Amino acid sequence: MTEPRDDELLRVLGEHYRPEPLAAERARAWLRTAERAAVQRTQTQRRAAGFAAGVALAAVAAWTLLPPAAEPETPPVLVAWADEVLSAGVPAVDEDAWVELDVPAHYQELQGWISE
Amino acid sequence: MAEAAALGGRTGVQARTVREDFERFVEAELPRAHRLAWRLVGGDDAAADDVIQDALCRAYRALGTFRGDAQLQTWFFRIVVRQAHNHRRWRALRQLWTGAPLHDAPAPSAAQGDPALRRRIEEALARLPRAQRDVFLLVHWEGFSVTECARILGKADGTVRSHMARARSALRSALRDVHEEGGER
Repeated sequence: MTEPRDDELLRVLGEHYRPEPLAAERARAWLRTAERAAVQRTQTQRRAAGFAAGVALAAVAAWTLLPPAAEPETPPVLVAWADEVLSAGVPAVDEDAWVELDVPAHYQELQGWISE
Repeated sequence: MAEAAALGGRTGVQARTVREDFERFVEAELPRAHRLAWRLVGGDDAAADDVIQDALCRAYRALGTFRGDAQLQTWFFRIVVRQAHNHRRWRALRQLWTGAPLHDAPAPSAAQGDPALRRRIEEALARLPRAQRDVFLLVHWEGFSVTECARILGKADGTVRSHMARARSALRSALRDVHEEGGER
């Protein structure tokens, strides 16, 4: 068996291994669908880009135009406690003196205040 | 306007020309592209339809980026081959995950020849490495030249020739008896 004959065999096999012929109407329908899909996608992308720009602009406007949020008020109990500490003149390094001032009792309020 | 935008911001006239060229080309080449896709996905009608429709959508969307220096044919068939590979990859992954069969091939019509022979050819092709199969299908069965095939696959001409020779040899061995038995099997 020579090689050209083999190649001819392979070519003939290709005739046995093929799909049903594609109808021209079907091909044209696919083309129309693909075109519409491409245009729609472009429009959607443009709308999405416009929306994103709008949101970004609104965020910048809100940031620059709105008044800054008011500082949270310090709870009166903490103000009183701070006065007490200051008036006692407790040095920062004296741990015993700080325990005397009952820091744990004010811990919850202190935490709440910081998290505000 | 949206159409022009889809075509890469070209002016209306330019966009229309590119689109018209593309449509003329596709109308002429779609049967070949469909046949190639069908063979690349292993003779699965539904998969071939999906591959071609996806390729057309991608081509339409990418028309704006199409560079005139590349041939429309090379560019479009490259998209088709890539889509077919993606499809095979996803199908293999799905099969791995779900254990489902590779595809539910419908019964071939009389126009598609002997089903047993078809199955044998399909199996012989499936056993080829992907690069060899691509080259064989493009050059031998779809009539692309070695240079055109090399451009479509992004390989050197010599590599394509080498793959082609190996593929031919493997298929000859696998299907030799078909010829020896008088072309029936």
